[in-house]
Amino acid sequence: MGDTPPDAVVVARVLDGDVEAFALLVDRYQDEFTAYAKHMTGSADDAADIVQESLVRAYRSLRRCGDPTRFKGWLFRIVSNQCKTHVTRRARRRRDHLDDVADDIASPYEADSAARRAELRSELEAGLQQLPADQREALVLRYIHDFSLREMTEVAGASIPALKMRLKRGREALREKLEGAV
Amino acid sequence: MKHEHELLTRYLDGELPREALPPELQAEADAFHGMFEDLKQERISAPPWVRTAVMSRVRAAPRARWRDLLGWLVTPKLVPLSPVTAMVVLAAGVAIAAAVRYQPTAPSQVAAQVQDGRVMTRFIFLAPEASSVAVTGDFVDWRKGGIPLERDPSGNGMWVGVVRLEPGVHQYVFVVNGTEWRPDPNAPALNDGYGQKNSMLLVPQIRS
Repeated sequence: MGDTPPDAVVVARVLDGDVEAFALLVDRYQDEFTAYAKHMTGSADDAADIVQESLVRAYRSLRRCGDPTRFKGWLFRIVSNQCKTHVTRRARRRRDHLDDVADDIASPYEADSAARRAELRSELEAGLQQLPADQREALVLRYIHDFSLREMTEVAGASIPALKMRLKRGREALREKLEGAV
Repeated sequence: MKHEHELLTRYLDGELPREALPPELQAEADAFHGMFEDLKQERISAPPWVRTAVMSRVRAAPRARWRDLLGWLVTPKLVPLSPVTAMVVLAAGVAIAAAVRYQPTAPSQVAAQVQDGRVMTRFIFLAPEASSVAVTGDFVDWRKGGIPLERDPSGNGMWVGVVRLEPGVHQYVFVVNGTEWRPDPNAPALNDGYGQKNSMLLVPQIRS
């Protein structure tokens, strides 16, 4: 973090009326949370919208952040909830319109390794998008963002046994969706 | 569907080191992690407009002390209760309800019964014209079918159902006739960001 003040100090400054100090927190976390939101939603545009909304919500309810030394975890929960609300709403809209998200998966084709790798990645992203939001969240946190199960409990608001179950079901569902692709 | 080997499960949960796996499971574990490698390596940045938009909205919404106080007052909080205290609170609620007579539009309630750490919660919705009512929310992954409520046999137009919920704050809506999503008029509402409102319910932690 270098010579920039820690989160708790910045939070205290913002709560004391220094609105511009909030930009330090925006700069500190916007990229990391945009990456997380993109992995959750599969869309860079939606991810940017979610991060914008989450940061504004965080500012408006900053006084409710019980422990400013754990501001990042608190903000992560806001982003995570926004992502889950987004994907469940989207899934609902898709079901309502009888969309078939399986169509999003590209059909296999023979190509060189770089193209094949890009294809696998595209299939993985499409496969993740088809999982229930809680399973997707668990897989993204654990295998893309390298969270431990204990760290995941704080963001996901679930117990370790529940998270293990989500991970296992998510892995099995993902393998089934990608069967033959990997 | 091929089931995951128990050792592989424990490794992927972070309980075992890779070296504890036999070679064939190590290969399977590496293949699994390899799937995510490209996504892990991808450099993703927020577009510049995010910072601009956030800061302009933040500047346009100056904080006020009274708003902070109001926010604190209306923020749901987890309240640890012993079963005895919960019973007393519930009994007081029943006595007050009896004193002011039955209100057909009473909000959904949290009962003092606990099963498996979850709290029996009663949902009530007034919809005399409905042919079916269900409750859906984060506790059922927003499944459209949700959990069906039963029509009160007294003919007062109320629909009632009991759901076991984890302690904490939950969001929910009622689904009327299988298609129409309606928030609970007697519960705090939260804008879901997509032009609709979700209702909020605080389920307290009741210690057994």
